[in-house]
Amino acid sequence: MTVLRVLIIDDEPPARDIIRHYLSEDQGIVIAGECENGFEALKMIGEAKPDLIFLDVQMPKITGFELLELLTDPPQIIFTTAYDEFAIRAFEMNAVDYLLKPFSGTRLRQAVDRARIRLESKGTTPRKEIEDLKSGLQDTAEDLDRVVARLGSKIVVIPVEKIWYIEAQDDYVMIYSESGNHLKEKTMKYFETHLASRGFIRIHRSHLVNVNQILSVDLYGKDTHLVVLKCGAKLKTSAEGYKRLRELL
Amino acid sequence: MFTKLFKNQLLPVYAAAWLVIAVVHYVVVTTQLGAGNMIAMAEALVFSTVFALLGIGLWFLVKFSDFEKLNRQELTLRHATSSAVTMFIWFGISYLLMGVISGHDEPYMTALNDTMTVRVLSGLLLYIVMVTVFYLLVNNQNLKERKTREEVLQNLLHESELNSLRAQIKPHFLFNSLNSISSLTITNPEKAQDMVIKLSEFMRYSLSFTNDRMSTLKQELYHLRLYLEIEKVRFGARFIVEENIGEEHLPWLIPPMILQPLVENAVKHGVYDTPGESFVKISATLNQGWLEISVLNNFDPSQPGRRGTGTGLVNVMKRMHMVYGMNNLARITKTENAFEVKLKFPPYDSLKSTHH
Repeated sequence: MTVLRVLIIDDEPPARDIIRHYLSEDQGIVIAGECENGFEALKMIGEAKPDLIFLDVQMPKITGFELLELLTDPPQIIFTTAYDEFAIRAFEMNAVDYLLKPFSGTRLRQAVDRARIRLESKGTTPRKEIEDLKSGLQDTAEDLDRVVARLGSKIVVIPVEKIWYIEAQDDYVMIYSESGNHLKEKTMKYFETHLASRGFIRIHRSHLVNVNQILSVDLYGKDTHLVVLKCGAKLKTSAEGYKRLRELL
Repeated sequence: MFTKLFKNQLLPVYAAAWLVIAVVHYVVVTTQLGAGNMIAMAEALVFSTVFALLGIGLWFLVKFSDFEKLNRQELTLRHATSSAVTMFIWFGISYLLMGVISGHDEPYMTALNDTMTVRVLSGLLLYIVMVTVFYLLVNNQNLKERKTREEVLQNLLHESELNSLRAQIKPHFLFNSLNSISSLTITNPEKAQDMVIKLSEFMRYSLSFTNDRMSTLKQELYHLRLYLEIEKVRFGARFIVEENIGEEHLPWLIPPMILQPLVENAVKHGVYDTPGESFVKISATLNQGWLEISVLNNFDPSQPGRRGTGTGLVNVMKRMHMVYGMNNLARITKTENAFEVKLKFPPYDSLKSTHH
């Protein structure tokens, strides 16, 4: 049996203690480190290259989810949290498991076994299993308050109200904001869903615009309009996008 | 104030009453004194209008003299003075005006002089009736105001009761605390037991607090400490609590659970969201008879875009307003990396007169 290198990320010491205690019973596990916030974790994941991380969601600086977004080659993840509303999002991010605090040693061992299977097959959890996990957990379509991005070795946290617009770029999206332009490996659909109630509108297949940043909407051609933003950007609308815009304004 | 009079439709009623009095006046003057039509009409108009105008002044005297606070002697003295002044001004002005209007008509002025006593006596009678009616009205208004205020207070209290209930059942606090306990049962069973007891005691108080009576600062502090100690177990050494409250303030009466939302807020924006050390400072000072309680926390200024609901603070302000009937009892100060909420509790005397 290969030895798993594990990192425990939680801002509450007793929460780390119990995980460490449960794991100490497992001969096939080495604890590579413990951290108490997302920044520390980001650094340590890069250095210690763990196979598996136990990750809390609500932490100072950046949340567990935001941390994952910043990782290019993430390890296997087991979320540990008191909140049940993040479960769907966790599995969307390809988490191995989602442990609701407080949890038993048995439940934790189950999660670790699942991680082992995944690591050995180098694959993801079969769809069926995810569906099983999802059932019984409810999701509240959660809105984003902010977006995190990496700028070299720095981490930028952008509040959504400071985003001007988001542009589709192949497998990525480019976020244009007060604090610069940031490329993220996410879909337009993702931002469209999670920013809907924050005043963002998909005016075109490739543009999602912050309504509060719109200066004017001008007629451009027969069927198209031009959205002029406060930052100076001029973006064309699609017929469908213009309809959505008119409904909201 | 005047607009309120109009709104209450008291002014038209008041004017109508004076019209009736003027008519009676006219009838009495024509039948008893045998005065001419024109002069009787003029007299009725002058005497009634002057008294009516003085009456408006009396209304405010009654409304703002807060007779509930005066003792009987003060009240009698006040009305003896005010009735004498009213009579003097009323009769004086009316007399002068009638002199001008009648062209200093000799027989009429003599008749006026002769009937001065009976006029002043009926004036006094009118004064008494008027002031009595005013007192009834003011009392009624006060009662209504107090009733609506109490109703709103009751609703708010129900709401905050519910909120506090929710606060306890708030999953993150309860489940994270339970998780700490689960951990401590293995690493430090004694501490685990201690925490179970604290959590139970805290929850029992939060679930059972009633709003119809005030609580002492001592009691409130005891439960705040339970809460803070639970959070301290969760966050360990990076959570620092400082308390600076003098013994002498402990018996002070404050609304129950009024500080809890402030402290929860401080913990949420402080230690929950701040890496490294984070503090909450609770202090009390006496300022010109008022007790000022401050809850201060530091926060991470590099943390943009995390929303607080703000409802906790708004509810605290609402409750302070309802209990004390005063505004501006809460002050929020935000600096670059610290957040402070200060509540001001009025001196005991004002509490007694407004809180029943």
